[in-house]
Amino acid sequence: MKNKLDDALGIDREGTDADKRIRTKRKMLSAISPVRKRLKVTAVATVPSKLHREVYDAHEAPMELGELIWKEGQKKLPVSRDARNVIEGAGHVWKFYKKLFNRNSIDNMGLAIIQTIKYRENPDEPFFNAFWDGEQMFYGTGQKKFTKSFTSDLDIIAHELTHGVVDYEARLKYEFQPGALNESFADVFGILIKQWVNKTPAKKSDWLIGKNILIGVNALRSMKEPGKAYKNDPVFDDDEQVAHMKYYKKLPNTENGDYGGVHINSGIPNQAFYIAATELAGYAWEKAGVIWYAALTDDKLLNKNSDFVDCARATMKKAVSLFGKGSIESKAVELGWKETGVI
Amino acid sequence: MQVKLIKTGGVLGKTMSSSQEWEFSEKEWGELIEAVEKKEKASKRIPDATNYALQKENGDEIRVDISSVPPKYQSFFKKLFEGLKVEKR
Repeated sequence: MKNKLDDALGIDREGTDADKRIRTKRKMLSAISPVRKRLKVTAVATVPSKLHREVYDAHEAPMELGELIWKEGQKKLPVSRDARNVIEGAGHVWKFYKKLFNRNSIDNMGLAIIQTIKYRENPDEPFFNAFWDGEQMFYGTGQKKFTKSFTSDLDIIAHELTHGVVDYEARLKYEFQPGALNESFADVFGILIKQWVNKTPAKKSDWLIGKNILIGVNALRSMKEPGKAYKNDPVFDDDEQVAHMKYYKKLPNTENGDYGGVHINSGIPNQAFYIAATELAGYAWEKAGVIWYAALTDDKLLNKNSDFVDCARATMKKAVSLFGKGSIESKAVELGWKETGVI
Repeated sequence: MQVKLIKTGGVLGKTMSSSQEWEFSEKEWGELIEAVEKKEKASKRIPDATNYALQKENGDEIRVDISSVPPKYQSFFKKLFEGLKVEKR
């Protein structure tokens, strides 16, 4: 990808190696960590368990990284609202995983969280999206007429960074049921991180994902009522998510088929988590969240090909091992998967 | 020639499309495709990433990298971007 802003400003980054060095280091970390995991080498002491964030500004131009505008340790925050949102958002995500699960960043190896704001893939196409590319985050400012900036919601920042966590753990394939589980884990930890930051109990949460991004629309998704986040919207049409196996959408494994409906059928495991968490009441991250995290990080229970039934079994097994057989926790998890028709 | 731009993926997972009638000579069309076509299959799928494809009226479809549009064809793509609407599945 060309850095058109650099071209316009006459900056020759090919000649300098700052960007290249950063990306190479991150590529090495990304490449090393899964190998370490397979070899069962645990995080070593030389990897500092310290939060490290860097924020780059792509200035609404197509570029891979952008201009460095802030890094960990700088006391003065950038003026940009987007920059502040992602600095704060990534900080919350890192702290959540560290405090609750003693996880050392996305890869559990202290990976720096690199984020590019005001990203575009083409100068004439405002980017209304956010994603983790396996190495870093990219955020668009949105399509002014119908979306706000994609840094506007903490749960979206947490959702995308959790795709990174999934990539280092169960590595769920991005298609059909494994892909829908990948999406669902991202939604589950997205909402949990928002609830944790705001200290919202399960029963008081609205369980909406991306509440602030779409203009005139409730939210991107509802974990409480999958498929009911929006209806007949002139821009976004209907929320296509389903909440029960009897409505499971069989779509082709193509880009146009949403890789077998990963964003559509994820409503089913989302609903299962919502049922379990609200059945248990209290704070969802204290019980249901712990169970889901334990399942996600156990490679004997979940792997790249795991389907909904595997996930149901994994979470039920973890509920028993963590809280006991016949416990209210194990019953709540079972209820979630039963109510959605998975088991 | 009638050309359709198909945009898929994103955090919403919706498909959007837009069509434009544009006068392309065979040479120009070939030049455009040469510049934007994604020839290699992605080694790994990126969750929530956006993808683009161009479809000709005969149904031929190619995956495109919209960051590689030559300046000469940028106005054509601008028109396509402006018309993008969600497709019912």
